[in-house]
Amino acid sequence: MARTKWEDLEEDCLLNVLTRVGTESLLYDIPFVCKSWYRVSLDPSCWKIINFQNFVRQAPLASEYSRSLINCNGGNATTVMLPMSCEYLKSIINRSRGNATVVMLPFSCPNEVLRYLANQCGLGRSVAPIKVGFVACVGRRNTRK
Amino acid sequence: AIQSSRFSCVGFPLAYIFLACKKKSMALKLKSSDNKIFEVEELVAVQSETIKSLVEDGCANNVIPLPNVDSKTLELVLDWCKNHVDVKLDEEKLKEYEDKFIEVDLAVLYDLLMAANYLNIKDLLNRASQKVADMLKGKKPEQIRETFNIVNDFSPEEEEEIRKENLWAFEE
Repeated sequence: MARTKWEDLEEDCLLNVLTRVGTESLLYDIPFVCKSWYRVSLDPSCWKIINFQNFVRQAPLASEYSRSLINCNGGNATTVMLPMSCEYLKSIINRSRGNATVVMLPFSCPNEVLRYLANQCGLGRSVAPIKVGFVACVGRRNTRK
Repeated sequence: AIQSSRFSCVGFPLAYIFLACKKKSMALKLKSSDNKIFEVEELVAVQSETIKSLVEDGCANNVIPLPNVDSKTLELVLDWCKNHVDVKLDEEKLKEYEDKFIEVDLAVLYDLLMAANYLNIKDLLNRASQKVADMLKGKKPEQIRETFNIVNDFSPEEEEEIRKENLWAFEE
């Protein structure tokens, strides 16, 4: 194992790997491994396909409001998908530098994000085709105070 | 005349196989980093885009040195290439072969990844990358570091910075 240095894997090699791990891993795990992996995880080609759906974990930085939502559900965090903030979704979509081809939006996604997608990834100007998997969650937003 | 009429009946595939058989006689010599010589059919070797462009440029008459690939890895890579010369033969069997081929330990997988990248063999590179990606999926950073023997070179402050960058999703 001495000469196999995974942190020194050539960048285009690592990039080929990281484009296959999925959005959740790219946000929650890969960037924290080491500096070189963090750098590569920000490459726009890692964010061509963005899937905010089917996350199995919650971000540890859940706010008071988010925690109250989890508690509403008997503390079973995996069954409650918290609404992601508009700014957050936009910042992640922006990582593709306008090259996203598939964006699967999360539940209760604000219209603003759709508009942003259209502008950023050229949906309106039909520069790049986008498949948007948008699932509205009606009840969720009403619970907000 | 018989030859050409046969070609026009069955079209491109047979013509391709015919050309392939004709080319089979050509052999290339590859030299690994530890100076072992591998004699391979050109058709096998040119699945590496790197070697292919050497051949096309007429630089493949002598031994082709591959200073970045050791003999152990080159043997594996050439085995992969041999089994991918005619991909359309039996997809089921090929998939079986690939699945078995890629079941190697991490050190070998690393070498394969580097070799496939250097030799520019797309399908091998993709298969090896997918294998690594499957091993990463669902693992926490510390589990990944442990599995892949990676040293955490972040300071706690830097780590916190990335946390802020990536994981503020649900903050109000």
